[in-house]
Amino acid sequence: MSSFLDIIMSTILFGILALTVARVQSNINSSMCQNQFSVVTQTNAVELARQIESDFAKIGHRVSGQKILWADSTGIRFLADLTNKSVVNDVRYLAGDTSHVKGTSNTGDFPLFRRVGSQTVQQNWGLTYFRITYYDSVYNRIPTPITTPGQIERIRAINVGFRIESPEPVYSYYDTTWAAVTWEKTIIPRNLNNLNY
Amino acid sequence: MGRMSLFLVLGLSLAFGIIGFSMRGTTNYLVEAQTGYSKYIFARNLARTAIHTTLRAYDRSLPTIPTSGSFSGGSYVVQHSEIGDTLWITSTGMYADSTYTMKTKLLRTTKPFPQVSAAIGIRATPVKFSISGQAEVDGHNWDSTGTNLVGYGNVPGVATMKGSDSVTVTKAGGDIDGVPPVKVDTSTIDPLPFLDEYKLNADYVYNMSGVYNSASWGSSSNPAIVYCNAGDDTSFSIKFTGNVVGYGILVVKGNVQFNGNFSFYGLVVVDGFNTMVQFGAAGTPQVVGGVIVAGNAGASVMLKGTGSEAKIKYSSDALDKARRIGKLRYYSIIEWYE
Repeated sequence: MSSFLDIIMSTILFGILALTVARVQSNINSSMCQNQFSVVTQTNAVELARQIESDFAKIGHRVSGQKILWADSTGIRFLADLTNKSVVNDVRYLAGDTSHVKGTSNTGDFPLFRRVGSQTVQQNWGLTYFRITYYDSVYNRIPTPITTPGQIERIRAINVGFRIESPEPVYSYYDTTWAAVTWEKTIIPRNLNNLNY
Repeated sequence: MGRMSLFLVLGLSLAFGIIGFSMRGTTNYLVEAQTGYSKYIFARNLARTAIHTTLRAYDRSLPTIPTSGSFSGGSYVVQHSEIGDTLWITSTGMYADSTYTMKTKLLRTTKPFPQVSAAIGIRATPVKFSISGQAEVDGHNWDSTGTNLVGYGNVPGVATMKGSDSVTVTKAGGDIDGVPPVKVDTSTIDPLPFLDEYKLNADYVYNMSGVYNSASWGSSSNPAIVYCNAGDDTSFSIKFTGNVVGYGILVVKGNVQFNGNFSFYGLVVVDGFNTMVQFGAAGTPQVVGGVIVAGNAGASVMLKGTGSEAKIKYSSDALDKARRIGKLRYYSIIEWYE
């Protein structure tokens, strides 16, 4: 009788332990998912920020004549010698729309297209917001789209803002909480002749 | 049963250990991504600081331009060269394991300057003008030391705004020389818009009325800005006597009297209300460069003297050196790569 009770008690204890471990494992998995999504979004944000800063700071480098070819709130086309090798590149940035990204659970994300010369790269950073704002020499905002050369020549500073979200929900498949990073910066391309030192 | 429990505990410990290690790795990766961006930003700011530091060294005409420095835990190195007014600066900022390089080509430019197209340009009107003794105004173009004539670039001795003032100056007689000696020239620039900047950048400021002597302002290679605020009263509230030598730009708000061995090489601007400028009979005060007399109302210019040299000699070289005072220069970007 005694050994029978021992077996029952040990089975119950094992069950409790197994459930606890399963619960702990579930929480750990959830935390790891959150961490991983956080890492992915923040790393993407850093990489995209560095790319934008690097490219936009070079706008107009070694370009004579019109340096920005068109400018809109979701895209820009400019000329710049990106590699400092006396070769002027035609660079375009254009935000896509949500239909361009179909493989993620996040219905709000869209790609960013970066085109240098004839090579276009679709960059799936997890963007859910991407906005470019333009300012003149006294930091008056220039309404977009900016189409005429006269208006384009007034651009002296460019503000870029974006938000990157994780492609999948953080907690569960049915959740709508996304790991997110927002970044914004006003870049003053030195080759647009705004600054004097 | 006991052995199974031991295996179970060991297995759980191993599983938790792996999970914990993995989580720490993820966190470390996140921190590295963030601190990496932070270091990159810091290195970039250091590179930019290096360019600013180099340009300020140029402004101050330092004999040696620093090629390295450190700031807040980071450091930078600078390479620079120049041909004429064009500068090439390559700066590299370094912070921890991040470096950032900027390559720039800049044009060193001078700001607008109140050019005077005569030895004395009188913008105020009406003018009272007297000249006596051995005082002389010479519009011929002298070198920056006032020693030798350049041979070209001669200007009028005195330029006035109105014909009636020109007649007044001509009637005063005296030794006024130039091409021509007296001329109506309405293009003499109003110096008023420039004065605030000169005041802000002044190397020497005299805010108290009084008599000043034994002063040395700048040098031929490093001219200075001197700002004197004498007020708008009608007495000689600023008076220079004794050995005063200056180079650059001298601004006097109000009335001024130059006496003794006063020598100034560059631009003298006298501005105020019913401004009175007097070169006294004592000593050999002189200005090599140009004088602008301006004001809200009339002006009185009185030149006396016992010295054998002219009181005011026009010198485009001296004016050009004043124009190129480091603090009054700025840098236009020709190329900027980062």
